[in-house]
Amino acid sequence: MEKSRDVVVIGGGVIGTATAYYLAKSGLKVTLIEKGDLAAGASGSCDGETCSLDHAPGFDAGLANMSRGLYQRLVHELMFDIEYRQYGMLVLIESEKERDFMLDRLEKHMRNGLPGRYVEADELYRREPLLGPGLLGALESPVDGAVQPMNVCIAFTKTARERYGLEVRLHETVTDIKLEKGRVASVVTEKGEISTAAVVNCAGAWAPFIGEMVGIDIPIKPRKGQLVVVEPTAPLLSTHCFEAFYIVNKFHPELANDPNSIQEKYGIAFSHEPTASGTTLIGGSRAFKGYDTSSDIDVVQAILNRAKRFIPALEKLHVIRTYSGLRPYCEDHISIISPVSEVPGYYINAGAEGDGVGIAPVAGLLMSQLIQGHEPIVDPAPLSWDRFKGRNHG
Amino acid sequence: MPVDINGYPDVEEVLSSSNYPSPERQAEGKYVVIECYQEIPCNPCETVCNRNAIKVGDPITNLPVYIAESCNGCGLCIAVCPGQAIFLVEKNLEGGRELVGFPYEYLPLPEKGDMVPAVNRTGEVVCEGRIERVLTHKGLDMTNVIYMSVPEGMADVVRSMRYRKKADYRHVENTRAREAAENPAEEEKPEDVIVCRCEEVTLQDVYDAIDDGAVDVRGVKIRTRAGMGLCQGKSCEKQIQKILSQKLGLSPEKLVPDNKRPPVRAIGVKSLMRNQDGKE
Repeated sequence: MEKSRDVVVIGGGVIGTATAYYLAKSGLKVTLIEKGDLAAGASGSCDGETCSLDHAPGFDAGLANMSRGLYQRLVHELMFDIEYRQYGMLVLIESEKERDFMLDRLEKHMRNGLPGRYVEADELYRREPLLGPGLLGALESPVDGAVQPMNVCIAFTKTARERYGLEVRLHETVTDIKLEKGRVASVVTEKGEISTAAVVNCAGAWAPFIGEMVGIDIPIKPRKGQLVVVEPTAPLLSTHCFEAFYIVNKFHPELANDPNSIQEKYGIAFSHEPTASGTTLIGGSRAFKGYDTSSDIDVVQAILNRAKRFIPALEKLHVIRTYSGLRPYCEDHISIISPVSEVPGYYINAGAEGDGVGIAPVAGLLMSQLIQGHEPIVDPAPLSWDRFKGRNHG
Repeated sequence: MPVDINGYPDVEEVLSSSNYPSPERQAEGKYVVIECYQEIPCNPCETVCNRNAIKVGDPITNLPVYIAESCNGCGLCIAVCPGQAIFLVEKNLEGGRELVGFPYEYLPLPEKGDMVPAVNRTGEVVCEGRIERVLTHKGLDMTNVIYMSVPEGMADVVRSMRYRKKADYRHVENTRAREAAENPAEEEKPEDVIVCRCEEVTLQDVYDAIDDGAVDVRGVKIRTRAGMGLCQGKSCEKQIQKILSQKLGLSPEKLVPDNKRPPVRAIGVKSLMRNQDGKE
């Protein structure tokens, strides 16, 4: 048995590294174990948006907004550039149905204290002349933006390791979690056994496997999302943009125009992120394909066909890469950030689906507070494990 | 013919060619040796020669015919040949030496008096040569022509030289050579060596990534952006593998290769903007 650690964090993505960072910063002896390298799963194959307006108004959007505030502070705390850019965000609106829906949501967001406004078509086209014709307007959040997710993982671990003594063990697979009298006692890897009273499952789409080790059934499954990288250019659009259909489809699929459309078939919705290095990330898709992460030409074509409607000039450029990642989909679209009451010492921080990058700081901080019994930064009840109690999620 | 097998002729093949001048013409002074064997559409040698000593004619894929009697050995055709297949030879110089002229497009250039390793058609060093002239004028279209004297019997063997650092070959009476010898070239600093050109990642950045825990190409990539640019690692991936294997003491095949993702090379967005049935 190796030396005892206060907490073992499993997973080296944005959620795991954020959790390890805040725990180590509080003075605990923390070990982070990752079976691959940092950002090996969804955190290394996503975009970097840190937006609030695409979340459900209220608690969920508040979580994202709070996280954005923490990112602003982390820019100064961390020892590695996370490429935080607060360039605003536009939700592009095509139809009156979408506009009514989005205006209703904007009102709810604003009642919850989030800044936002409706941008009429003439202003929209003045600001973004490369947008395709026929849009009615856009919803704007002036405070949203993006980070570089891989850099976030590196920055959290590097800073926690050098300042707060975090132990980072990469390319090491957890094979078992041992209990004593029903409580977490140690974490077993292929290289040894670490004695600990607390373990945090931050394994994203792989969280169910870490759940099985203590006999719990975590209702998370991998949802595949693909993106396309376009060659470096001057920015096509000045901010992060996505189409209102993305939100309509995510929360109210019954409002979608044609359930048999290509968009529906592949879960396609246009998104655009200008990166710090000059490339443009064009998204995206959502589909349940198990743990397959191969690039699918049909989906790439569908993504680009959809993107042409919003940025016609795109057809003059080149695709340099396509990639896909597994978003940890939780059946009620909200993370599990919680102790597991039936296994004392076992915690889960996973299931943010496509919002992991956006909520990582608050997810990490909250997890650290829950483990130490500190006053939590937000009410943890909506994120609790107990919400699944009594349900059969086989 | 050996040229068909190896891609270069052997000495006997060159000497037995009908283009090789007669012993009488050889005795008169400078002449060129045309080692052109591929019937490609090309005739700058014909057009540059103002004495009509080289004929290609029609069709343009004809191999050149050399009329040595009309040639004054000016050497213009050496620089102008895109295939760098023409050489100058002069035999029976003072002291029994011979002269060979060849095109040369590398830097640094030698200087008159340098003693350099002379190489044959395969690049093997076969003797020492002395640089006699370095022609660099604009009319040569960026191709320099080097005249080098070599021992007797070597003018038909030597076709280029190996020349790396000036200080290695410089005569001691040459001032610049002495300076160079006294101040050997500084070792390049890792922070000055670019490994990934697209993202301007230096060797030092790669070392830092390895110190931070990177054990494979992807590990270096996520920490430095090396390989994320326009060429997607086509230039730097092998370099990074080499650096990793040196630093980690692993053979390159033990390293985990980077994820291969389509497209293999940058592809026009337009070509992908089609309906699923293939129509635009």
